[in-house]
Amino acid sequence: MGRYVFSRFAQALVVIIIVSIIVFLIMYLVPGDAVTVLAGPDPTPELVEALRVMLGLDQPLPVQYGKWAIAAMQGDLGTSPIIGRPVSELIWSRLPATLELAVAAILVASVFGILVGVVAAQRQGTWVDATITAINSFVLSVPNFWFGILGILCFAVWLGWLPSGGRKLWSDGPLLALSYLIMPAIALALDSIAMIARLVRASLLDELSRDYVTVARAKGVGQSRLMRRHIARNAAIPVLTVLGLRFGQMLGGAVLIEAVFNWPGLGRLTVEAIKNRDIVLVQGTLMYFIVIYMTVNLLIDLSYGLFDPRVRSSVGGKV
Amino acid sequence: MEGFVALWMHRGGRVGILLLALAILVAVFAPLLTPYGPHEQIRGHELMGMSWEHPFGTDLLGRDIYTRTLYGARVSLIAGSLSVLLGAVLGTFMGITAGYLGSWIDAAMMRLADAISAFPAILLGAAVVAVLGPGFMQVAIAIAIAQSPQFARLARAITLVESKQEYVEAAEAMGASRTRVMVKHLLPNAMGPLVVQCSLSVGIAILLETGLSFLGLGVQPPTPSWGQMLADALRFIEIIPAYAVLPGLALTVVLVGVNLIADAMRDKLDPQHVAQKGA
Repeated sequence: MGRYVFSRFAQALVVIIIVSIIVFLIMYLVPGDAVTVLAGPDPTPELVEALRVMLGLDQPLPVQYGKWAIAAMQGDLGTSPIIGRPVSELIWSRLPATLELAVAAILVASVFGILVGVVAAQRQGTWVDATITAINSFVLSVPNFWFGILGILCFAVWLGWLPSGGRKLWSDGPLLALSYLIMPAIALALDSIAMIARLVRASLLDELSRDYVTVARAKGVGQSRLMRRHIARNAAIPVLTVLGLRFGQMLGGAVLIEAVFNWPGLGRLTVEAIKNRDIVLVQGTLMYFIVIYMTVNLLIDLSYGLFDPRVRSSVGGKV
Repeated sequence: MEGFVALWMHRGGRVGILLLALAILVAVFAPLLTPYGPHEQIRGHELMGMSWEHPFGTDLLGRDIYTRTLYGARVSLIAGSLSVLLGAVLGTFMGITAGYLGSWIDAAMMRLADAISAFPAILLGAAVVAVLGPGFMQVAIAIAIAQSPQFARLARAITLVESKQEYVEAAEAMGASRTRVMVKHLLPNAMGPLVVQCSLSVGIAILLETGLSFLGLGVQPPTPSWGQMLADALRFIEIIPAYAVLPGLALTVVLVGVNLIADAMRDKLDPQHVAQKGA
């Protein structure tokens, strides 16, 4: 298990280093650097040179990268030249909103996805199964941000039951906060519900047809114990993977849903930074997304070991 | 032709082909289906609701929403297919080179693919647009880069298997250069699965283009695009509710069509997948 953890960790680290190089180089690919922004219109060559020295842009590229990477590891992602605040502070200020939306969406996706999947598997071959399969296929093809817009149209504009966008804190009242959270969370979760339901159905049916289930039944294991101790455990691996991956993506900021519902999360911060050509902020948020995404992926990989002892004993990371 | 017949025999595939054909026909014959031009601004008709003259209303500049939706199909279909084509070329080059040449080239290419796929696609697209600036070609390149790792992994996996086959050894023994082996022998054998991957990627590409345009980072006005129209619709949702429905519906029709075709292609080529679905 130790070697497995180490090998996975090393792989993730290599990817993060490569990504950090790409993200670092963005600054040099974008026309107009930080000096242009800071120096203002018609700067003197002396001012430009002084700013270049001040920002360390006169040093060789590897040295600049090294300094930037070490500072980033210490949590210093630079200061946004447009907003004038440290990038890490800006990320921290938006993190609660993104976290809240991601947790709510993943809860909705898990509960409904598993429920719908189990029902479809239990009613395999009936009209219930066929209807669920058809709805799932449809939902997977419809962009979730359009569902969000339709939600606003129905529940905010026509019925007036829910607010059309924005966010309220839980300290303002749980019901009020929930009324702002519910539509974005469901819109964000919809395709995950369909995907998880599909996966749960396939996994359950696949496991039910295996020999160990027949053997367990022959040995007199009861249906609920069989489900709990044997089938659910094996069927959980792919479901857990998808849930984890989705959660990682959602933590990366549900960019479109945040834009539709005016949700003040990290996705919107990044898009605003891109529109303002605030490259330092873009670099910071991208690095944050990658580290979160890679960490979630790593945790998912390591959690396989909890469900499947074969993974623990495999070395070299080939699962 | 044989592949088309096989797809047509598949129930989902047939519906997919019909939906996609409808979208292509609409995109090509848009000028015949509406009396207005996509950029035509009609004075005094700004932000109008549904009427006989404008079945789905008009936007802030007095342009007919139905007309712009029809023309929007062009952007989505062309951007979707172009970006998948670019992504397939880029990824296949990476994958075949990595798989055939091996050693450090393999490691470098595959870690690069890992790094690209570590970015959420929409953010990677947005970051590329930040570097290149917004616009049609820029969006296609951004989406192509985001999609290239899938093609790279697939092409590499096929190359690893094929490069151990006798025909490759024979070609090498006869003095064929590495480039010749890759282009003349390995590439044709990878084509089948790569085409299926293309069909799977088109839907995602169209969605990404719409998403980027929705955020204002994609195709720029006045060119009509569904994403940009949906963003506009959200601003005026209380005045013209139909504005939010039509572009989204058009997008959904195309995506359902493309996904049905992709599913049918996968069913035809991957018996294991069919077994899983039917289990």
